[in-house]
Amino acid sequence: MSSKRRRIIAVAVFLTIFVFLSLSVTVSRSVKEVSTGFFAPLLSVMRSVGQKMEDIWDAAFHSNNIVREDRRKEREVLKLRTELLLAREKIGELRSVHSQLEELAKLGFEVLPARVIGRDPDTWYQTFLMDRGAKHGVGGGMPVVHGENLVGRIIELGGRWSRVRLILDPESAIPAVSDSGQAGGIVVGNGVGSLKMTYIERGAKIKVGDLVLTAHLGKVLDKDEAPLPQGLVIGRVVSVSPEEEGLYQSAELESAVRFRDLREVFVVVPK
Amino acid sequence: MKARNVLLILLGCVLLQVVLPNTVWLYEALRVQFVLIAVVLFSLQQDWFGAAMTGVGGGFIMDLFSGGRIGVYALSYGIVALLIGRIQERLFKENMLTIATVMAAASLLSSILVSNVLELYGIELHYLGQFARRVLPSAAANAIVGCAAFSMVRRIRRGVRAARKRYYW
Repeated sequence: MSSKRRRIIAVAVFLTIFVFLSLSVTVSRSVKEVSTGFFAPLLSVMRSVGQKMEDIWDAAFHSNNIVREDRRKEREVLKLRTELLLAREKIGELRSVHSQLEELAKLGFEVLPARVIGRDPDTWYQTFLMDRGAKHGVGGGMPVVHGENLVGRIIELGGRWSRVRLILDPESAIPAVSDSGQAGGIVVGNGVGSLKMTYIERGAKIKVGDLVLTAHLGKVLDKDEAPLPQGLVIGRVVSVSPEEEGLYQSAELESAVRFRDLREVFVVVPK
Repeated sequence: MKARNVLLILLGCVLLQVVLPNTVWLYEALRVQFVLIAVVLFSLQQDWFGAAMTGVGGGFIMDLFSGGRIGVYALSYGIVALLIGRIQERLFKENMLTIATVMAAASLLSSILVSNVLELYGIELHYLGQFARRVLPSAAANAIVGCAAFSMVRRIRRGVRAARKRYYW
């Protein structure tokens, strides 16, 4: 191939990339849906094998970690029991995973279990693939939970698979409210594993330890998205940074979900 | 190597990156970018055109499996591979330190390019946090694994060459 021809091809290829970059997200997603759909069954099989290997790996090398984790969980359970005793008056508000799910069902939602079959190939995006799709009744924008904790929302959909954007992703934005109901805002991911609640009114009362829950804003953010049920736990406030100037304050949150180790999740499907 | 085989290897690397469980990496930031390593290793063996096409191909496959827009990785890996293809003749490839440096530089450059493209779309990234927690550890991990992969490929090639010689004699 002549040098001139190669240059023309190279320029054409890079121009094509710019065309792809300027495509709308919807077009970009539909192209990806075809390719991911093609490889989804293979990913599922590979993930199963990977999971088996992971179990062997854990059993062989992480036994110390398991003991440490058990102790940590034991301490956490004790702490939670104490908190539960102290908060007996508010016991009605503290729901177990089961009652939370039952409540969701009463509100007109049902939950669908799903298995994680793949993660984003790089760490810039915080997404994962799961083995439930449109054929199982899953739709775009539906929330994905782990217990009562919000994990993310569905952004891409295939027949038997879908992609979930974690709440940690910098592109994620979830309408939220503190459990006291006095501070509302938007929870965004910062891309490095933590959550930030922004646009909290300057005078609103929010303090360290407050639970932050999903707020129902109807279909304001995106008319095609499924509604977000109210009251799913997003995280707990670990620090509040009031801005000296400006109208808003922000808060750092910590989620109870260990996103790194997610294997099974639940999709909240409106009935 | 034939273009089809190169694409198949790159696809295999992406699939491996997608399905490998997180617990394999001691720390999430130490996740190795197999595709980038493969792109750099192929680029070191080719001229600028072949390298750029390999980079664009590898990046495009990454784009298909990632949660973002199509073209982000194709552009950044394409540019990185093009640069490596341009300078590879001037490099002393027998030295492992050279390979480690190229691998780390490619990792850093691709991260800078990806983050800048994402910023253009209004995605707020915390540069300092990202670089300290993610980009630098990942570059170090890529350099180590890249050197090991390069050494393995070189040994296999030498073995194949020696076997061929024996066959002809």
